[in-house]
Amino acid sequence: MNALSFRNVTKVFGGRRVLDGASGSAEKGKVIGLLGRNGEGKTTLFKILLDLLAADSDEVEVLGLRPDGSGRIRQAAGYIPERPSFHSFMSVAEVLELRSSLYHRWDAARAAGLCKRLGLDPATRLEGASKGTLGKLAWVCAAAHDPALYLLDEPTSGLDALVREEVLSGLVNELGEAGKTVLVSSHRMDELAGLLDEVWVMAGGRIVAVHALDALRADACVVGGRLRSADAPPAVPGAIALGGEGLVRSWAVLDRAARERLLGCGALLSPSVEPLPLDRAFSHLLSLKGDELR
Amino acid sequence: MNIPLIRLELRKNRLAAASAAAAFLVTLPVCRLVSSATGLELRLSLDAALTGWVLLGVPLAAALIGAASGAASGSRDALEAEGLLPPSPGRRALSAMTASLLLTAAFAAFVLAVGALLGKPPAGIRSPEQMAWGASFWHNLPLTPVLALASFDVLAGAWALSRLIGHGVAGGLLALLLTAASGAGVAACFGLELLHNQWGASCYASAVAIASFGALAKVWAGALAARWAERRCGARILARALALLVLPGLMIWGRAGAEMRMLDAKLAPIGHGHSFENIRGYTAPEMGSGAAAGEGAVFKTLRGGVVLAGAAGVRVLIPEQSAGLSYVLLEPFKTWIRSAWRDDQGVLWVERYVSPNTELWRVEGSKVESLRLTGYGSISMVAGTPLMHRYPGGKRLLVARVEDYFRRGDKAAWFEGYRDIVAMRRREAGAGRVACGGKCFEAEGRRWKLPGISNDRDAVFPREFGGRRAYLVPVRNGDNLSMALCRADGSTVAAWPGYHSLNSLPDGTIFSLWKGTLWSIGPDGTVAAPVGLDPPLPDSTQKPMRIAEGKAWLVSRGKLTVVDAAGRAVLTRPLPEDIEDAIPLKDGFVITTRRSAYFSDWNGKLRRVENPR
Repeated sequence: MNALSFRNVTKVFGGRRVLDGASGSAEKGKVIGLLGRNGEGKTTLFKILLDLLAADSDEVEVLGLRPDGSGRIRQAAGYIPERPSFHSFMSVAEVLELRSSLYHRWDAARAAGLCKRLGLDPATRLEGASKGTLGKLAWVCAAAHDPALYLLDEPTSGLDALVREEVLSGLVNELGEAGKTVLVSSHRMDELAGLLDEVWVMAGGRIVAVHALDALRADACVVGGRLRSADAPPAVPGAIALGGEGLVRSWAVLDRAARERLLGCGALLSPSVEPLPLDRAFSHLLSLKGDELR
Repeated sequence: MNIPLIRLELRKNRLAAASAAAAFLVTLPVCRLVSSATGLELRLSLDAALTGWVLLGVPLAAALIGAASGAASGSRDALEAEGLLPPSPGRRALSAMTASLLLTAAFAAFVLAVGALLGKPPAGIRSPEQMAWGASFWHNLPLTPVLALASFDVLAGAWALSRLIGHGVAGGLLALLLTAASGAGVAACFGLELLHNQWGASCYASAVAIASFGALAKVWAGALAARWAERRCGARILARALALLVLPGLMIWGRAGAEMRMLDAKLAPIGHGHSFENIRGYTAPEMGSGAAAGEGAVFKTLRGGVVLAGAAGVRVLIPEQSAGLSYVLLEPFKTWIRSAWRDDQGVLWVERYVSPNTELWRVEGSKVESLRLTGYGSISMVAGTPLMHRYPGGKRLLVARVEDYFRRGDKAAWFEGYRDIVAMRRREAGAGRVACGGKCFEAEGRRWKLPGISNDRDAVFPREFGGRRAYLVPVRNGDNLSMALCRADGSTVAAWPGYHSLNSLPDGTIFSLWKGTLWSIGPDGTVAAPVGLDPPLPDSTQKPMRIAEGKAWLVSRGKLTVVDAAGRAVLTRPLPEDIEDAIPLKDGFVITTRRSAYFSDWNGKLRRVENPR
């Protein structure tokens, strides 16, 4: 059973195709990292999944609901935006009170517990509040109604190291263990590496690759060697050229099939294979264009 | 709508409402300054300012509050803070508009309360100066419902447009323009109904209804605008929002236009509306026995034209005055048909006033002539001849015949002796008088013995039956009243009981309908047996259109009934329920309703007759 699925989602802003046929689906209880460079459409995808934006063409289902502009999906999901924003004339307590009247399943005790856990004083005025305070409040607002699906767009942005640790090892971990479905995007995906089940790579407005974390951890490697001929360096799908000098070249390879293709193509003399740390694997994924992975 | 969201919006928009209230309060000391500088009584100065606030200030405050709220709802801060909440953009828009409405209502209540305290009470008005200035606040209070609707409309429009274009000032100004356009349409309908009610104009209520729905449509447009702007959901939503904003005004003007077209197409009886003389239903047969009698009914059009409507269709006798739309306010009062009549020779005369002159039109067959008259008084009919009166210096002068006046123009000789002229005309017409102490009747040197005593002292004019003159004279026998017919062969016969009025039909039939019984004398002078209508027609609108071949054609409210000699209905045909008048013609009859006119043949087949302009 999928917690969310989408097919051929397209969104054009002022002639620019931000999403270009994005497709994907997440099983219930999975924690998925959404990896992509700035401007690749991650936030737009989140907004379409939350029914904040209408897609130009789409087939979207979130928690069994289709986006219809009614806000039912937001009632059932929790969202942390990249830049949390609240009315500056309110206090934390007033924000929570307002939300408690708008969410059917709002749990005031859970909200109070989260505030305490994140060190957020309900009496804090939001005028001039720090980015960290806004980030903590966003976490409380996203989680207090205990949604089945969390969409987290840079959830640790602006948080100090201690709170970030609490969020990552505490909250997100607990969500995963509680069987919640989480789709999280972060520029520091390595921090989340231990929590993720899958990584979706987004490029050119599409989900261009899906990697199971365990497989990525096991199969990602750097293949190096001396070329037999300088005329034709091998072009193997899934193998990312890292450069080199002269005939000595290396490739980052993110899955086993690509590694086998590269080693089996016969272009390398005495090839070497070294494990690729996850943080570097994520970096390589980020650096790719969509067509390089096909 | 959502109470917590409304509370949030009230909190967000209190500044705009406070600004309006502050501006209002500032006018109060300004009034004192004006009062000191001009010497005008402070209370009157305040009254004028308060009136301005009620008439203009509240709608402007509504535009300000609505526009501020709409623009703020589309701001980046608001979208980031509220966009993630579960309520849809539409629900948040409705909440914001509700909050704006509450703030505007609170402001209006504040203005009205201050006005009630400080405005000049009507009882305090003494001097002419005070009359000119004073108590305008109280006098304008009845406009409150209209102003409330206008304020609601402008608020919703300002919110929607500001949200749509993301600019409060532009949105507010556009909304004021839209509301002004709708208001002008409603005012046009009000004016049409006020000025042309007698012509059947009744579009004010529907215009107000459209405006009310239009204000609600603007609320809907606001919700759609929020949805479109926030969800970026395509041109169809935007088109719907724009249509909801613009269509109500267009519909109101469309309604006014339809009413104007109805008025333009309508044919109204002479003297119907916009006439100082209440002359109704002048028809050819009633005007005399000319060759054209019964060929059609004379109607006027709204713009001062005169037409003849009958079996052959509608013929323009006198063209209309104006082709522009200015008649809505002015033209009907600058041009109207005062009267129309047909004289003994069958000539149709029409008296048309075209400010500041009067025109006298003479229509004989296809020959139409006109004469512009200045400074004359009025026209009266004596024995089928129109006589013209003039009142120089308050003294009545008379010219013998309009015909003479027409031929000689302003150089016509005027006579002072009204009685002499009338007597002369009576002699010419063959009028007779009761003689022998009421026992006999004399006319043109002949004498008839009456079947009773007549106390009638007025001249009795002859009627023609089969080409010969006869006289109908009221007589009394004890307590019994009756009409005696004095025939040309010297015989006298009691035509019917009672003195009630005589009516004629185009073929020369004379009839009287009294308490459910129809009495008649045929064109050849034959007195027909009375017809008891069984059952009597239920309403007082029944009117015979034709009596012939042993049957009578009667028009009443909503139907045509043909009865036989025994009074039984042998044919019934539906007619419009709202018949105002029925005019018998030779080949059928014309009926007028509040909004239209129809020709019907003797079988009840209806055909609408309209102004052929």
